Amino acid sequence: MKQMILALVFFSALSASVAEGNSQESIQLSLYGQNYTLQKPQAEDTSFGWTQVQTHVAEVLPDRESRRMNRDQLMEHLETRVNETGQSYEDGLGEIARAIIAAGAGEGEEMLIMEVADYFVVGNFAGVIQNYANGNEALAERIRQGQLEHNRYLCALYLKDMLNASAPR
Amino acid sequence: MITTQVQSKLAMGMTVVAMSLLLLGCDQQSAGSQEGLNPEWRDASTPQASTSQVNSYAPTGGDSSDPAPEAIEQADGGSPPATRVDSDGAGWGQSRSDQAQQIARSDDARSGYCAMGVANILLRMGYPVTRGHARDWNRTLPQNGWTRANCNASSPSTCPPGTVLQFEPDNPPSDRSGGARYGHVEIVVRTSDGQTLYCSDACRSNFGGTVPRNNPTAWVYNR
Repeated sequence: MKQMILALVFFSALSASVAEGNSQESIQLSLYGQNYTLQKPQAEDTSFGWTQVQTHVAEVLPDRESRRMNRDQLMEHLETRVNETGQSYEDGLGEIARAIIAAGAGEGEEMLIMEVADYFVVGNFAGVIQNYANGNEALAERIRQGQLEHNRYLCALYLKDMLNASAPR
Repeated sequence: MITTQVQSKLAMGMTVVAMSLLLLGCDQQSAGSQEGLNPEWRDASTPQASTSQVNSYAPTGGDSSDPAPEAIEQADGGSPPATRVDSDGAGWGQSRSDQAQQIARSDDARSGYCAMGVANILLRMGYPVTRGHARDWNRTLPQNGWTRANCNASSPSTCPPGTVLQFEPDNPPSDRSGGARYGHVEIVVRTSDGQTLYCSDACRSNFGGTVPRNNPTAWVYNR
């Protein structure tokens, strides 16, 4: 029995590897009363994936179960959400940069925005806290919030691109 | 709501693996670990499409309705371009520099997404580029007909408007930040009052993003 389980797990892992290599993985997503089958993006060098989408989709599309819309309306809605979450992310970067300057931990708002964003892109909010917060817990919390704002923007962008590239089911 | 379908011959076994992967993801999140995110996830697998690659994958604005550079120049009231970028001359005219800045202000590439921003600008202006990480642009630009610019990339204000600057990631690559991992890419533009700006996800007065000391290369398109 134990050998059978081991064989099953081994074969499963092998099959998963083949499926991944052939880019055959897909996701079934139900949004606004419609089902969509979306191809997973290339896995190489990518760790923003469905786990993160799962984490953030409820924040990006909180009304996805209570409202109904067709594909075109959803694309338009996602475009709006990309803009809204993107603006929120950008506004947050400005706030964080100004808070860092106010705390005397850095200077040059434009450069700070770029640097903080550069950390958020790889999910390294801890690096921002380490470099700039200096034990300032309020600033550290704002930085953590900034990472979440970034992730929501990326989630919206990700959904829009995946939907754009997939045919309706 | 979201379910994972893994196509395989052994559906049950695949479910075991899929569930294991989901659990792994949950563990990572509950542990508060950093979410590694990819600024250009969508590009790595995009197939090249020879000359049609201008619009091969441009969900953020490079659709097939985008006018050709010549049409843009005419519509903007500028003089008809003899070449798109002349590395030995003045490069882009003012209308193109203005257009690049306008696209950078209005597209969906936000801070940290330089390669997305540069691709948005160039694709909408009709130039052939392949989306992807900044570190890959030294490989894909020549595949799309771009050539090395006749200017000093380490002193990029000497480069003509329209020049694409690519900065390498850290060596060895680091996961510290986007620039360290993916490098940086940007376009040289001039403002109407003669200031040099570097446009990617935004237009800024400093070059090189967060990695200005990493080895730069300058590229122009002059077909």
